[in-house]
Amino acid sequence: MRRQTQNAHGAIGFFAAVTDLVAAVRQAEAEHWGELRTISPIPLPEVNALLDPRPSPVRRFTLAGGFLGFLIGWALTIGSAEHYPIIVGGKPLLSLTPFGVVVYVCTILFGALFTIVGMLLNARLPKIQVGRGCDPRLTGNRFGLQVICSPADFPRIERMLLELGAEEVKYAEV
Amino acid sequence: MSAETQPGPVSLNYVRIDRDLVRTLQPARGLYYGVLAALLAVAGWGAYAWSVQLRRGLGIAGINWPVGWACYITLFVYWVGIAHSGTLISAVLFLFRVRWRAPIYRTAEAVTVFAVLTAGLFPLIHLGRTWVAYWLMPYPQMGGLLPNFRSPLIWDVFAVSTYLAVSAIFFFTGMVPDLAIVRDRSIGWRQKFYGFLAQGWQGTNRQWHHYAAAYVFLAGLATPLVISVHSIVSWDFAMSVLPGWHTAIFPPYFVAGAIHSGLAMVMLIVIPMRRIFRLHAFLTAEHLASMAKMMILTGLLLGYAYCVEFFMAWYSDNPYERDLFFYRAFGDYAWALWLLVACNVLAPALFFFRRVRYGVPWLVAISLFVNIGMFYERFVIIVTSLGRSYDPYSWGLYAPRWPEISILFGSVAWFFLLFLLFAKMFPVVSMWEIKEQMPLPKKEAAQA
Repeated sequence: MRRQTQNAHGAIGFFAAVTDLVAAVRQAEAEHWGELRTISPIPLPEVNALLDPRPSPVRRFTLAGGFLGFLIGWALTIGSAEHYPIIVGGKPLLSLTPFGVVVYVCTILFGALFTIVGMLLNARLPKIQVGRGCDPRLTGNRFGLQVICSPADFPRIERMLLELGAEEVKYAEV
Repeated sequence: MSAETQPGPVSLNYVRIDRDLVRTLQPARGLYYGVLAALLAVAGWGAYAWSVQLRRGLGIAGINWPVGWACYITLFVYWVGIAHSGTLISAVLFLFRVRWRAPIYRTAEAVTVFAVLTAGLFPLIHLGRTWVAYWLMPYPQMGGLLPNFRSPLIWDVFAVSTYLAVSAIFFFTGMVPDLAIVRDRSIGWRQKFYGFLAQGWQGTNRQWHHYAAAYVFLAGLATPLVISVHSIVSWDFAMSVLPGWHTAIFPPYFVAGAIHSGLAMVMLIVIPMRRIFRLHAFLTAEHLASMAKMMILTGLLLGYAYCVEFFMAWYSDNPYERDLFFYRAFGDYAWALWLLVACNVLAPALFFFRRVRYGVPWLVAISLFVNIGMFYERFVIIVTSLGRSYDPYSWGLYAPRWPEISILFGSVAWFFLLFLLFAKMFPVVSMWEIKEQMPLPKKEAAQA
């Protein structure tokens, strides 16, 4: 995963059309403008394919959580039966088939909990401070491309973004 | 077909989606508070009935030997069933990329979470000594007593708790990008409130990347729960060696019934919500008709299950089974059986007619019938089997008394109360998923 600085300052170009944004991302990538990030009201798989083509590591969290839940399920059921050994309903003390129901449920529960933890950690959420460049248009009907840069580089990046179809460019923190 | 229910072209754009759906969160008018107060009063009466039962004991309810499981367990199964359509619509239809799910799933998920919360009350109410409910949980205690994991009742505790946890996670996760939209269009304490809930969501490519992955995995994990939770609930009955209960058909039969009643409840909520919030552009007649088509399927599955139950009782040559099913059809509760068949199988079959599928009054009436029918289905299963088991000496009848009736209506009011609060605090339709389904914005259109 390419490193993304949290709440970094840079030039944000506002695009009305996704095609323009994708073209801008492609060119900025090819010409190594700097660290890039997009801000959009919907997920854009074509942008992710350019900026971060590797699959999300969230899947490993899901797998780890499911596996842990599987183990916890067996430990809980077998441990309880061993700790309080009383035969009920003529079933053996270690009745693995009925225990499997609890194991199955625990697998799903921990899989889901770890998935959400994985998402929060990887997406760096929750964020205490939302960047000041968090423009309402970017959760509405505009698509943003931020190029992390210093104030000195801003005029150059601004010109290039406007040439690529940005409606407006501003220097802000996201 | 009325003009209102005609499926027609929808002219949505990103700005209109935000405007129309954020508008639903504006401060309510007097009627809203009037309905809220009425629901609070009914729920409060139910709570009072429960408090009387806690003080005076379960003896004041109609529950008695031999019908020890009656109205409360019927309501528990009913509410868990109601919860199922939410996960079906939000998770299963998401994995199958069904497009008509997008405007409905938020409401369906809310129905799931609130229905499970309501269902969870009933084992506590039925327990009588509610203050010892924590004995169901595995925890270290001095007596060394631990839950018996061979009992389907303990499976149920785990299954329903997990269902609540996973549904709530899925529900809230799906809402985060929308909460950010509301945050960005609010001021004052509302901005702080939605900002807190949105957790700093900005919609960066990094956030969307991991969010999309997590959403798929959560949907994948929630999908087996649609099948397993009500299967496990059905094992509360099917694992007992009791006529009418001890049958392998119960898990699929219960799952089909759960989805049937859940869809009917979602329909009952979505239709007035669409009218009150003027969401006709989002929730079209096509969406309602699609749910009606699903109810045809679940209704047919239930009809098949009812027939198979009777066939197996006859074909088994087991006198106890035969007697029980004869009793169900012609005994003291025969009216309930025929009512449930009419409500659950015959009424939804009317959806075969296009005119009925696209007629809002029909949709409301049939959904209401299905909800009544599904309550009685569980009532008949529970009460007739317990009241008519092997030994004629142990036969008996059951009739609910005022605490059960009060708690029944109280639970309905509690459920709608939760939903009413939700509808004024959170977007009832997923904004980002509606946007995602639209063609990507072109420059000229966006500027216009």
